[in-house]
Amino acid sequence: MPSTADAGNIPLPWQTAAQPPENSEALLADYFQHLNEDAAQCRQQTTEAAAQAFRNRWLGRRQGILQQLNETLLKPAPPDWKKPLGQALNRLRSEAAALATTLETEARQAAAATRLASEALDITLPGSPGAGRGAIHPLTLVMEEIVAVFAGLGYSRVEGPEMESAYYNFEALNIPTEHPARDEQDTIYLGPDLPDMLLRTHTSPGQIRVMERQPPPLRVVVPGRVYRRDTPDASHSPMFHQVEGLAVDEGLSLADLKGTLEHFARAFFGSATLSRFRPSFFPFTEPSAEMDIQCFACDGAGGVCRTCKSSGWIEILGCGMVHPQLYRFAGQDAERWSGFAFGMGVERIAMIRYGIDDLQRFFSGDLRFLEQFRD
Amino acid sequence: MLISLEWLKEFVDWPETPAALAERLTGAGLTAAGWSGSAQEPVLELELTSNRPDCLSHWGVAREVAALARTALKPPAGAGQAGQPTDPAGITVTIESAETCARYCLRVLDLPSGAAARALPEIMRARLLAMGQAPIHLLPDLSNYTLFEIGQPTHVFDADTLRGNQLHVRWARPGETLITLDEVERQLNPGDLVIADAERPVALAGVIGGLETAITPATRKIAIESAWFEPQVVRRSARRHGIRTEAGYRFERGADPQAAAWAADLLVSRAVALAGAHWAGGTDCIAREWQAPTIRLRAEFLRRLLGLAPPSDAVENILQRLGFQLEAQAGASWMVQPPSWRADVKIEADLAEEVARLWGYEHFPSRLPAFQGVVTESEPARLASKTREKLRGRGYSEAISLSFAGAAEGERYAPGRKPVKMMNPLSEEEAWLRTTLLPSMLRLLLVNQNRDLTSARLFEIGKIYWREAKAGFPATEAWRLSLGSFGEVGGWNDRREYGFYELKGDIELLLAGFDLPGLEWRPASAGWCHPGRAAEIWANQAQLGTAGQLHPELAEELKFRRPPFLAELDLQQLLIAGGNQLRFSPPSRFPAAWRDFSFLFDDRVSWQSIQTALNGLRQPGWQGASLLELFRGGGIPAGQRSLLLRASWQLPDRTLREDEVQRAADELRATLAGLGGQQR
Ligand SMILES: [Zn+2]
Repeated sequence: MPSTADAGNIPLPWQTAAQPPENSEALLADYFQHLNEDAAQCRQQTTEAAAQAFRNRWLGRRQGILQQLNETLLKPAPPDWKKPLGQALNRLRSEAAALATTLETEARQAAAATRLASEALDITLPGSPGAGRGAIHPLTLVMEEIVAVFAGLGYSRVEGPEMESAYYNFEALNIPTEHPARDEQDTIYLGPDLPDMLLRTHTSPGQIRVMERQPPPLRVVVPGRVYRRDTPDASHSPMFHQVEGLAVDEGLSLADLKGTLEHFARAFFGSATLSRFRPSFFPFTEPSAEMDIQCFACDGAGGVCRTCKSSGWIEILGCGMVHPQLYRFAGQDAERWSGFAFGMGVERIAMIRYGIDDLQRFFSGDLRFLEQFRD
Repeated sequence: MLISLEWLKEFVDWPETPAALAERLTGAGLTAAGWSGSAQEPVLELELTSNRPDCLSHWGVAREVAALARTALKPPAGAGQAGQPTDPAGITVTIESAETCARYCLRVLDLPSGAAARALPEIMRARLLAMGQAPIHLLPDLSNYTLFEIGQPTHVFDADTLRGNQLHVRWARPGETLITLDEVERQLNPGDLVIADAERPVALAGVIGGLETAITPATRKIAIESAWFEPQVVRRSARRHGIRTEAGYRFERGADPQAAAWAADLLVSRAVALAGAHWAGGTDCIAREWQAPTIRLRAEFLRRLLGLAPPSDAVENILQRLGFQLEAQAGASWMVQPPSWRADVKIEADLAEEVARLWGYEHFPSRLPAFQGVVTESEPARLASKTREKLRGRGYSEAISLSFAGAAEGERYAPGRKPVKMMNPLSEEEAWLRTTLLPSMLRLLLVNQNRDLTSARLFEIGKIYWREAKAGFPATEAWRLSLGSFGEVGGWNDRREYGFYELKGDIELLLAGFDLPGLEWRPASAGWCHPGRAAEIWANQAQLGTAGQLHPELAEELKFRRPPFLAELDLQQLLIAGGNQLRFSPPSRFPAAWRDFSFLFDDRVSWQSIQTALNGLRQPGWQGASLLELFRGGGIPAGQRSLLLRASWQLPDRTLREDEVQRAADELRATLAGLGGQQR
């Protein structure tokens, strides 16, 4: 490989040939080859320093090979050799400059890649939690969803007192003293100095309170806590939640009750949900019914299904046409207005929906339970 | 009610399988709840609503099946008459209160020696066992058998033990007692209706008989009672004395007023056939004749209530199958009389239910009605939702706890709030309604600590209750929000212990959504609070709540392993304050200027006093000062802290000049120095 140091020892081209060659680059063939080899070597390192050294070696203003060739070859050349030599040197210079730029770019990119690689994180580590563990109580989720379905049908949400008078909880709902239905709702009474005050055993007093204060047409839902003197077990709690609903208007019939509650079942449990109505008894509705949905665990087959206790159906709510007596209690005209009411247990529906086995879990405060309801 | 299908077959036929029969009964409101017995002799459990005492027997269910399946009823065999009830019975019956006992039938029979000790024939014995009744001996077993057969309770006395040859249906007298069949001596109440002989009560009417007059295997003369007692009277006595019997269960729901004599005669004919008993006389004492009510039923009413009126002949057919008498009237209506066993049918809507029930609920149309009324939003519900969402975002999970509390808890966490007591609480320890949510929250935190969670963040939205007459109520209930927390916060890259400022930050985030002028955190003095790490939150001259660390002594007493933090907020106050009035104001287009200041302050100089002083300068373009860092320890003397704060200014209409910012900063430094601050 020629080196500039050797320039003085090798014969100059015009000393070995009479005429400059046709192809002027042939004059510097050794240098072109040297340039490419040097670039290839530099590329193996791909550092900015190597790229800089390459540039200095070839294009340096003082000691660059091209500068030296200028001095040692071009300057002393006879006049008819100057042009071809000048052309060859220009070619060599532009090729060296292009290679230097490429090498520098490659080196810069490689350096950046190395730097970024060193900044890499384990992106599989968990994110800064801030707070993401919070969850809303499953009973709230279910209650809000029930209310939302009925809100879509024009039902307003109202609240009633939990400490209720025996009148609203029983008498005004057509459940007189000594009615057997009072046995079925073992009541917690307040006092002794609060005569006839109790913890409401259902959200149904809301029906009377609303009818007293607001003339029909009306549609309301009354969600809330209710109480019964039940010893806690997997399906009982002295406190639980209900959503009561009431619609009163001109011309409402059993058909409207069915249509409304079938809509609810489909909206809440899925559009393919089948439901049925069975005659039942509540002192404040006549006729009364229970609504069942077809068991989604066994598709209504029953068999040994635990979800529906083999019946193929799951009881969801109680309902009925408002008893004429209630309009009288509320000071409304029973011949003019008709309506329907319904009530459902929120715990029961939540247990069905989420597959919860024990009602006590709702009130345990156990975060390992509660945090499962992040949605 | 348990129904043996083999027994039921004695009274009615039906065309389908047991499962299909169960389905049919369920569809008519007699809910099939399960099966017991054997495959050959299945026993169906029916869940009956309290309005259907007429179905509390095989005969009653047979009536229903016959109506549903349109098949014939076969009355029980052997109800022949052994003698006329007008025969002198040797025992006189007097009903002293016609309202409580409509009729009282008595049948007196002589028994051959040893007859009372006989056993029931095997088939009857098996049926009683299927009803869950252990056979005793012949006569009480026959009485029980009749009860499960036709639903009418009867009672059998040993007639030789009755004194004075007379029976009275009367109220108990003060001081009277009765040893009942269960061998308990009962102090009778003047509200108890009793059957008494010439000297003493011998039975608690409709509930249970007396031990002294009960038949024994040696009994030679029996007196059979079959009566109709007022449901409420029976119910009160049964409840007062805590006695649940099959008889009481039926009387308190309403027995068939026309079945008394029938049951008595059925029992007599069986005693004659099975015990060789001889008729000695009987009497039907009728205080009040049963009168069927007459109810008008309009086809138009059916259409209005049910959305569809079945054809007239179908309506008539349904009611007749159920034993109703009816007379068609002009204008598509009927005058209807229910049978004696259907006292639950009182009004037109009750008749409509009978029609709907047998026509089948599934055959009525279904439609979604339109609505033209007013729809209102519930503000408290909206506030609760907003609160839940914010707290959930901060890592709190919602809990729901029971509303009951002990008296001491209330006194400790909400002193001065007079609690409401329950008359019949589930437990005496928790006989009160809670006056604060804090004790519930502490319990919830402990539950989680004791399940070895290293941190817990919980909230509850619930009511508290106290004695204060308000808005026509003798007591008041109001919504509260509680927060509770302990343990570590943050993740692997910023782990720290939950502290007062975490709690405060979470509450500030919550309160930021409300219009709360004059919001202020003042040192709290509540007994449950750590004296230096708790605050009362005030706005609008009202206390919104309290927040802080639980007093370390309480935390130790409750066995907390990490300091718990608590807050209780009055949601009613937030509701009154209402949400922020959101209004747009254009942000300044001109650059803001800011300067940082580092000052050393005595601990007693509160951040709030510094802020108040700086805001009080009312500098042009003042944007406020924020705390960047707080240092303590190191080279800083004890009792002092170093604050790094950043002040900023910005004008809406022009850029602040450097000399203006300089002047403002100088004034600010002088103010901080005036508060005792030392620039660092
Ligand atoms: Zn199933």
